[in-house]
Amino acid sequence: MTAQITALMTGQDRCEIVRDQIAAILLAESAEQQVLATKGVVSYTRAGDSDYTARSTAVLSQVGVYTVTAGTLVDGVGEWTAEAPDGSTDSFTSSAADDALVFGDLGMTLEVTDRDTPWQTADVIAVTTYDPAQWKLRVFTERTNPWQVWESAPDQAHVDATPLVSVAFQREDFDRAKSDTFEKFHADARFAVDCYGYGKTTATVAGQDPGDAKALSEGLRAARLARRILMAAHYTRLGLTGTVGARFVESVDRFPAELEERFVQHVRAYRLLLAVSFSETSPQVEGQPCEQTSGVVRNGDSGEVFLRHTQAFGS
Amino acid sequence: MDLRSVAAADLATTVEGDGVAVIVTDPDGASAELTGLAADVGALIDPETDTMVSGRQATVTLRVASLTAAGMGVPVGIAETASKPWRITVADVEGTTHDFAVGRAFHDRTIGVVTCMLEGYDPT
Repeated sequence: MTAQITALMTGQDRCEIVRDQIAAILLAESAEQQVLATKGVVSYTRAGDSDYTARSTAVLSQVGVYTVTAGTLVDGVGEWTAEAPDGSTDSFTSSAADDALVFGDLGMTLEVTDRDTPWQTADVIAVTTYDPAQWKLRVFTERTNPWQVWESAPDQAHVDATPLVSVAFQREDFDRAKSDTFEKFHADARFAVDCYGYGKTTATVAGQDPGDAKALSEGLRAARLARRILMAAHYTRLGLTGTVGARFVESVDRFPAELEERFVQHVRAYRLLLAVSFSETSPQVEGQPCEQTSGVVRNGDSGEVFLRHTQAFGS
Repeated sequence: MDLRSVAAADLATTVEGDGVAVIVTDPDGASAELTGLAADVGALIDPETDTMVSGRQATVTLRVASLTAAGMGVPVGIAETASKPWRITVADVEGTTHDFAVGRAFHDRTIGVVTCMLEGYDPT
């Protein structure tokens, strides 16, 4: 029994594993999307029958659209120019059809592949980049007031102003009809994914950028990211195939107003209620053959009857 | 002296007798240094559960007569983005200066006082 008692005290229930997995998915996907945002999305307008593809391999330094336009390029050889989102331009010379397109001044490199029919004059390539911060989330599990970091009312650009997500286990209901008596118990669990947004009123040239509106926007953005990530087809089983049967966002609720009455720090929060189905298990006993059982019954001096029982198991 | 005049005199002593320096700036940029009561606390009472919760709430209380004498109007919360908010600059007990915007204002016309609920403000 010693081994079984240890099993009771160690490890996690599935509800804890799923909770931690939800947080891990949000954190990992947030980080991954930030990296992808820095690379930009490449699109083309091609002239003639050119069939190259290109992708950005460098971290682009500006948010917006980089437009690469053809100069005097003929069959991949010649001069090109590119215009950055801030209007600055850069040019390069391509001496061979398979050259990567390097725009040093713009901090951009386009890796060109599949060059059966290379760059043509008048080809236009556009690279759209995004602000990685739009995908940034700070993720917690089972915290009651992670937003207290905003008590000092930090500036909006401060890292602490990033939206917060706290994942908490709420409850699980067991379905007797879908369970067996011994080991597996079908559970329908609810997890609260609380998304907090923060805003600080900022002066603008025209007037002000209100903190409450920013907090609302940030909270909604965090909730939108969390819902889209968790409901993405890639996470149908939350990365726990064989354990998780299904997941579903049942509701998105705005938090009660009292959270918003911390007036110096504008905070808006939304709660995603995520339902997840999986099986909980119970510790099982590995049986051992009993080689001998015996008992000795004797009468005590007081007339009370005693039984001495012994069992012998294999080594 | 009627009762209201007595209350107004008491108000001047209460609000400004032991008050702190408060710089008030209106949406047009006009400002004045007044004396008022300032509070900045980090513990609130949850109205639903009556339990103490963390959360920062800052207020200043000013005498309307002093605002008027300084040529200022009465602060209000301004929602529109095309206007600057009413701004308050006040130092805490350690001497650190904080910039706030007026989020809400409670104007008590009976006794002539206004209490401003303050929110964090980045003036840059």
